[in-house]
Amino acid sequence: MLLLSYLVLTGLMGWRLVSVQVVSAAEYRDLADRQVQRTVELPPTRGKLYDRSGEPLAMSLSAATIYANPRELREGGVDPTFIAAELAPLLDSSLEELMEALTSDTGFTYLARQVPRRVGQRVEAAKLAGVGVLAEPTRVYPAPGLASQVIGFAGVDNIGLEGLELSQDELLAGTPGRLSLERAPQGLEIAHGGRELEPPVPGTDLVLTLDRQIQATTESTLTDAVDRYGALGGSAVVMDTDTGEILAMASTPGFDPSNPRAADPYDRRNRAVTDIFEPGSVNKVIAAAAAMEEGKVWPDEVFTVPDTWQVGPKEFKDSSPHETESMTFSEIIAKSSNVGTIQVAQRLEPAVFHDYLTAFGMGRATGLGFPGESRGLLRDPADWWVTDQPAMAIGQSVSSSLLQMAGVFETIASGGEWVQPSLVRGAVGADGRLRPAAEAERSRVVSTETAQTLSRMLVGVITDGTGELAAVPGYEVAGKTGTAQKPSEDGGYQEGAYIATFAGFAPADDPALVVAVMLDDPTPYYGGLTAAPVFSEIMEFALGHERVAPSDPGARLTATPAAP
Amino acid sequence: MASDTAHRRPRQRPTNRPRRQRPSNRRRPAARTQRARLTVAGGSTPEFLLLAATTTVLLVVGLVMTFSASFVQSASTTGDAFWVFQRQLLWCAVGVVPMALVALTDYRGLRRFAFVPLLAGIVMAAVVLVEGVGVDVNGARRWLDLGPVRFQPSELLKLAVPLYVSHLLALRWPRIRRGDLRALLVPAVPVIGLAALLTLLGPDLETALLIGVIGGLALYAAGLPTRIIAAGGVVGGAIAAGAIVTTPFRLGRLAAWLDPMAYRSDIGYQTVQGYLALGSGGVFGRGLGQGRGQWLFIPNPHTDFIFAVIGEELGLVGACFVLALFCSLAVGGIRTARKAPDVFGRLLATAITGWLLLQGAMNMGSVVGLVPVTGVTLPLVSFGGSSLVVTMAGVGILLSIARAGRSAATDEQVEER
Repeated sequence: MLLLSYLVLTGLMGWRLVSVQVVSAAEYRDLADRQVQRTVELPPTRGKLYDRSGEPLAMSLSAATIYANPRELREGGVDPTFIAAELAPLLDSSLEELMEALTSDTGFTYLARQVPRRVGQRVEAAKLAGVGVLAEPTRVYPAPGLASQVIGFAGVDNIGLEGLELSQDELLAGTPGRLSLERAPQGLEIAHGGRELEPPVPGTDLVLTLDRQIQATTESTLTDAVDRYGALGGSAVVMDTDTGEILAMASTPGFDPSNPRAADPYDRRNRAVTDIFEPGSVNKVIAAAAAMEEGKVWPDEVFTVPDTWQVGPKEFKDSSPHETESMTFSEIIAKSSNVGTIQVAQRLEPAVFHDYLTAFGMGRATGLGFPGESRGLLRDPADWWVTDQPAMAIGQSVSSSLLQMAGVFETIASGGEWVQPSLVRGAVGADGRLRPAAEAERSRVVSTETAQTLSRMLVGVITDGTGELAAVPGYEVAGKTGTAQKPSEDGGYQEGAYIATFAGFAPADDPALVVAVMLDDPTPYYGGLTAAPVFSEIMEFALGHERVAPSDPGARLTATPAAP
Repeated sequence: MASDTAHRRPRQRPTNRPRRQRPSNRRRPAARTQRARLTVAGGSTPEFLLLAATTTVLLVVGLVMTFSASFVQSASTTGDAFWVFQRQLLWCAVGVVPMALVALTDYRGLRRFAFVPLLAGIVMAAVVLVEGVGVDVNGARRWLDLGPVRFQPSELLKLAVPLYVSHLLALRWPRIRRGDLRALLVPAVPVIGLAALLTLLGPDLETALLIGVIGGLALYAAGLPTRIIAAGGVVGGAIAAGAIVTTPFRLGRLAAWLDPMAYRSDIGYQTVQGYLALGSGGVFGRGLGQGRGQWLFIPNPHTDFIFAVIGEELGLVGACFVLALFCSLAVGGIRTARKAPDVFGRLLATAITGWLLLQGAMNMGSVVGLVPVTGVTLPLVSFGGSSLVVTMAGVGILLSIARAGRSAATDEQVEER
């Protein structure tokens, strides 16, 4: 009787064992595995950014991250006040902050992230209960502030947040590795548990098209100019004519990439691509190129140019009143006559003019793929009003970024071909060799003859036109001034607020570099008086740095530096 | 077995068994003279061999699994992975002495001292209730701190109660045999009740019930009528129900038993961790020392929940092997009772066997979810300190009774009551 009842009991226990160990085994095992297995993500080293000659612009260094396990402290009966008091001087943080972190109800909290490694070593040496140190890479910018808006920055988790750090994040980030191990409560590692290591794949190093020295000079020149002319800011782009590579892209003021949050959004934007403005007279080169390419005008054709011109309800004016005079087309461009340019532009069909604007890069993406890049504003010809075409010819009713403006001059400088701009030369392969980025896209806009003819006309802008201050001793410079009123939010124009621009290339007969400069609200506001001398300074340095042979070497020795 | 009613009869040795292990100059039955009590008594009956083998295997399994279940906790709390294991080994060595001594001598000699452990147990159980004397462990159990060792009086009572009750009943056997219910119940029932009550005040409901049932088993073997057993069961059940309903933590345990997953983060935690360990073990287990449960997941892996560790490391096969060992204990113990040469032996063997089996079933049953978590250890297997020594002494008595067992031939001659 006793035996029988015990056997029944054993049978019941056996049945329960079978139901737990066989029938539902997978479910329980899964739960058990889940409470045991921990995966530690191993951060990959983020790829470096180099300038075109291999100088580092952004790199990742190993730093120390201090964390704590407040739950372990509580269970171990450790006084968090003691820990906080020990750590406060080491981490340079306040007792209150540390206490708040140490008393939180969690098994993991950061106390300090990405502090120098020696701080981590000191914390480790203090051997504090429940406090640990992790190695975590931190982003370092060896030339702080240089090309800050172009490079952008990566966050504390090594994720690109702005600029190239964002647009190239996929390449730079690398692939995190994984360390799978089995953990028991209180952080013990189960000795015989499986330990799988999947090493992180470091991010790819990128070589940019930027030249550190041209960039630095461009920035300092801009900073001086902004200061000198009392401007809100300024931007400049330096491009290689043949390849479309951007050697410098600067906007001042910039920001400190190690503390981007402190910066004003205006300072943080890469305004050469994100901000658009009416190009003003600079746009006249598009009207000129289109009219010449279409055979509607010759450089020597003589126009009768009054100082005002009525189109529909609107009266267009030249920049200053003058007697009605006879001007060649070349002179119209050199003197930047609105009335003359409008006369030429009116010979074009709106659709044709629109096609040229588009072909020169207006109203479309440059292909740079920069975060926040603007494509500019260019309305469809079907929506054009009668005054729109003349307005666009002189650079109103259309908006573009400084980079798009540089692209217009790049097209003329490269013999009539629009070339896609680029900021990345290539990636450094595992073998340490450069794997060049895809070839720049090119598209023919005007013939070589038209481009060369227009180049000669643009030389006239410097030699006897509005852009005299853009001259570079020893080199023949071609370019165009621009002055445009800043549009206001209500659709009109801001009173007394101007954008001064100058864009051009040199040497005029065999262009090597394109430079575009924009100053936001300078005094005086004429592009020829403010942007042109800045252009000259940047162009002079860049040509010398790129060892471009001067066309008149003697001039370089005798000429005094261009005065503002 | 109930029909197999033995009675006091001349001490008669089975004559059909050779006594190879006994010296030739001690051919006469050892128990007859006072001097003989110190000599080896009885012989190697099949029951003795079965029980001895089973006990040895259980102790070995216990030693191995205690180490496997405890090394993490030992290392993390004392820095020495062998801390628990060494103590288990020590207590095992200590326990072997009384077990072997009792096993090899005549158990009937114990009747003279039957009241000693009971008195000691009851006094200590009472003393331990006094505030400041007993040591609280986990807020529930009360222990007596005896210098280097902690001792649970209730552990002693598990052996002392059946020993004394069997002795009492054997003394009154002529009257009980005639159906004198009063002789059967008094003073056995008050003794059992007192021991159970003191334990219940511990508060230790499970052990109190265990003591009650062990005592009851002796009464049952002595022929207690079914209606009184039923009444006793009702009373015990009512006390248990009352104790459960009035105590929040017992109610919680009950709820956690019915649906452990719902309480997996608090009161059902231990049960769920036990399931996870068992499920992880599957049919063949993870292998010795490979378990994850003892990595501070299962509370008390080397005491209450050693069966879960066994199930995880040795699988369904290993767990069923332990179940089989207890069945073997059941077979050996019950056959020992049936073949006991006297009433005292029969009652005592029944009660001790019942104790081991019931405690084992409570422990293993709670791990597999058959009963609520009780907190009793797995006899001979769990880490137990002084309780292991008491258990081993009890097994020693069982072995001694087995050695004195009658042969199958004489078994047939037993008259019916």
